[in-house]
Amino acid sequence: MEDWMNQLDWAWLQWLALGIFGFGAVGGALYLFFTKNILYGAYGLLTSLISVGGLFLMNGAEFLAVSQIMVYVGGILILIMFGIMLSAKGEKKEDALKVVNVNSLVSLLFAAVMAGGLIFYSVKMGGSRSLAEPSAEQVQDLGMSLMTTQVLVLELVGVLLLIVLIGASYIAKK
Amino acid sequence: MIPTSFFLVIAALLFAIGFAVAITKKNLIMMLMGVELMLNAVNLNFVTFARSGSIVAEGQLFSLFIMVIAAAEVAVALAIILKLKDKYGTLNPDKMDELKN
Repeated sequence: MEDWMNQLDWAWLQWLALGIFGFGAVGGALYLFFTKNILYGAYGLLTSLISVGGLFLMNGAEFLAVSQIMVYVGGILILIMFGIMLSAKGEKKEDALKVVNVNSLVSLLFAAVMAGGLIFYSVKMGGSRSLAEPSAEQVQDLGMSLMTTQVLVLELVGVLLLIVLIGASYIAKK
Repeated sequence: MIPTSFFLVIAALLFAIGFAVAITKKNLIMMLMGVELMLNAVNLNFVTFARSGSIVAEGQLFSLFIMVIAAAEVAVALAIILKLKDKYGTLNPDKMDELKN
């Protein structure tokens, strides 16, 4: 009996979490679309990224959820904010912060059609799949395959990051 | 367990909104944010399909590498954007029309 109660509570909590994270992800993205302030847009993106991290967690991808928050929120978003701050200096600082929307209705319509098509096909493709329970050794599996079968890709990504580090600082130098 | 289709719907919506942001906003940093949103949606799709697949680690590895590539892309793009700001004094891509006509 108690076991069953636990199971029920857990499922209810999962739906609540899906609601919160889904609303956060889509709402943050919509806010990014409708806002005219570039810094507020960055905050909308922040909400969306954190919520997608939560959705990763609900899909049983713990390592990816943590790296989502560390890489996207802690790295990419901070980088974007520094980009905003660095480009908003100098004599024409208003121009860098100005966001002009063109054809926003048309592109929203296009996006709606695109979302409809994507939802139709992806749900048709994957909606009826049977789900595997997330295994407990997921992080270990990930680490093992990174170090065995995928080790070449890992090394290439490391080299790529080094090249990007050098290249970006070379491009951005005065 | 929550069915896969809910995550797929959220991912499709995120992708479409990211696309709309990338084509609507006339500001290079804003467009970059839209591209980030699209990459995130693809990541969510990969993770969702990895849950229902037989080899769980493969899909997650794919999205891990996408994450790294996104970080690299943003670093280079922001460096280029700063250079463009220096050269043109604006971030509006419509005003960077040196090669037009």
